[in-house]
Amino acid sequence: MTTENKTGEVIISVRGLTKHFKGGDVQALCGVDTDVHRGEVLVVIGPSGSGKSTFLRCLNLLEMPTDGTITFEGVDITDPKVNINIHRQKMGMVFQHFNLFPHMTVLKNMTIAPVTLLKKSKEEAEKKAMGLLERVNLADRANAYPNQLSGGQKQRIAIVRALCMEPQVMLFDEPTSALDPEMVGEVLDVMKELARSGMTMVCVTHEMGFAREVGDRVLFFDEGKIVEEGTPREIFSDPKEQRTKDFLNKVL
Amino acid sequence: MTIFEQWWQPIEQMISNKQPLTFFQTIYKELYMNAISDGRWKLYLDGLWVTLKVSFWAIVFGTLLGMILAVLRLPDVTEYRYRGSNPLKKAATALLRFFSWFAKFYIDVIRGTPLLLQVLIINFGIFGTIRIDKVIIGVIACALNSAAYVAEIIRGGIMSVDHGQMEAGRSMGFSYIQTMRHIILPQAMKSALPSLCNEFIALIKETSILSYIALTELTKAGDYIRSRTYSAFTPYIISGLLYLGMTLILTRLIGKMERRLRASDH
Amino acid sequence: MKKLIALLVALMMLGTAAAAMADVVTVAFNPEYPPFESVNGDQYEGYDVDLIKAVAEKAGFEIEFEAMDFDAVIAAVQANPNTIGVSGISITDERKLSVDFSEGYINAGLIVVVKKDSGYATTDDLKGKVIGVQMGTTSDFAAEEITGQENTAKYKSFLNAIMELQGNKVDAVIVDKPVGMAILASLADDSLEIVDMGLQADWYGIEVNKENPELLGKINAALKELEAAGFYEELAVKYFSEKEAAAE
Repeated sequence: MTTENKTGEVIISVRGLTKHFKGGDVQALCGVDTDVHRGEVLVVIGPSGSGKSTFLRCLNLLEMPTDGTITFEGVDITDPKVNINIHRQKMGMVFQHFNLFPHMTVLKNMTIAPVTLLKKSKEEAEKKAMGLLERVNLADRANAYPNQLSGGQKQRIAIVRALCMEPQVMLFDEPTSALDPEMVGEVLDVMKELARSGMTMVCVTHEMGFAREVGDRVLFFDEGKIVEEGTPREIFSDPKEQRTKDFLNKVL
Repeated sequence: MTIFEQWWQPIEQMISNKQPLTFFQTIYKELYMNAISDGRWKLYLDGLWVTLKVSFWAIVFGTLLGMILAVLRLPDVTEYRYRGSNPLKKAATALLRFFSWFAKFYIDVIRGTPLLLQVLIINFGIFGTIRIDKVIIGVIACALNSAAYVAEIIRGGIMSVDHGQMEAGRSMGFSYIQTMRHIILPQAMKSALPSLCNEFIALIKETSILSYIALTELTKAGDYIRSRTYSAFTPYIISGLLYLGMTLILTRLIGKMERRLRASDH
Repeated sequence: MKKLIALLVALMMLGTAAAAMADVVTVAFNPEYPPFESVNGDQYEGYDVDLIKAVAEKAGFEIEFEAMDFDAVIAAVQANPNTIGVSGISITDERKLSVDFSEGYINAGLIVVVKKDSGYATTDDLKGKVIGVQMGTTSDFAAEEITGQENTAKYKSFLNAIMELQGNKVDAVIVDKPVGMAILASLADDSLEIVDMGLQADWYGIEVNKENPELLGKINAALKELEAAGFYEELAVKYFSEKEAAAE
């Protein structure tokens, strides 16, 4: 299943992506080049501090790249003339700490963006949200507040909240790292289902099992660079680089 | 002749005959002179109404302006740099930086000078030759003053909201201002509510300073009656009880609001 | 409720409780009302100041001056039987219910200050117009009679009322004649003029605590002697004539 070839058109194209953080000494990214294809599940792994999260957050400009270009659906979004808000609507993002809006019910969390930004009617947005909640078995929590939910439930809500905007690509920033171990499974199940439905996904994760099972391609990051990339089988079974081997030895 | 006047006449007679009054006669004398005769109770109510009007609008406009000032003082704004080459955006960024600087200057000046001086300057200086309703001048002076305090309270509230909330909002495609409005400010207001309640109570009481510009609010109404009856304390006690009533009601209302906002906590 | 009443009464009785019988009488006044009372360097001066000094000398008691807001004079007198108010205070029947007054010592008359181009000449012209006054003064009572309470703008100090007249925010200011003359002379503002509309003023009296009839008697006796000796005229010449001449 993981070897299934899904080489659609290029949806995100990254060229020479470089990021310095303030203070200037640390270079989080130095000249990253890669493409994300439509329908592809791209898994990004690497030791902490390797720049993998920064890479992901640069894709929708939550971090402003110092240099390089990011082309999303043919538009260079690093160009200051581009209205990034329009393009972000088509890139869903899921965070390590969920970042649900605590002052809104689950349903409001899911409908505020479609109603405000896409000018959907409240009824239409709620209908779509309820459908998604059913898909993740949380329809009964529609009127709950985030603080009444478990971590796993919160993250599932966060995923479907992003889906309410009907994104072209989903970005996952270590979505299971803040969860209690018994809740990791329920979130990964949702992500797997999403992958099977053909969603384009970029996942920064420590879940090697997930990478192996649904990843189409794996990027191994270290010191701000892509050290090695390939199919999960190539990376996990036959890594070429010493650094990759070291890392995999530690985590597997 | 009303029943109040019937009770009053023998007491008045006793005072002019220099006879000592009993305890209850003294109380009735004070009440009659300062609240009943001449329909003076109406003056307190008129003063109360003016104080309510000024306080309400000053709170509304002060809070709105305070929110804007608070956002201008956020690190998001003060540390923002524009790197592109679009001259229009460059100019807009420069303007934003100016506003941010001005917000700081404004807050420092307003918090560092007495409200009384601000009221006098606004009335005799800025509106020196413009004849408008004193209520409007009162609202302007109090709102401008309160905004500086509200700004710092709300800024604290905004800073206490987790940074992930801004990222979540922005990642969904909300602009900075939309995220502020729909996501950050509602949460910031909730944590700022107790301090805001304090500020609003202070504001209601500080409107008494407007008596200096001949606005007949509650303190002035008491002053006025006192200048007629020469009762040392009674008009102040009546005014004071009315202030207390107002602030107690406000405290209850905000308490109720807090409880409703807390619905999302459990 | 019982506690509240107890508190109220305690406050009202403060004056009686503090009935200390010191020989020194405190003169509570607001020295922002020339030529009746004002500050000159570190000295107080004015009609009232000279008068109360003469009264004290005649009646044989020591005085010390205590400057305060006009509003505060009322409370100061009621709080302490040995405090008297000498601050251009009008005698009214209603006030007599709360404090005692000496015999009236001057009735200087009221004048109206208006803008030169206004054309206001009689009190009828001022009906419904906004009149600025210092609250609680005899001018305040007169203004209410002319234009009603709602059109009388009451300031803490008549100087603020004059400022509002200069800014066209009130239509006229009513003030004691000598006071108006003095202020216009020092302002030298050509756009203002004084109109005498024949307004009746109240007599000024010295305010004395109701608990101290003895002191009131001494003051009245002294005033009578001074009046007989022509001291009032002397003061009028000293404080009013030159200022009036300067303003005209």
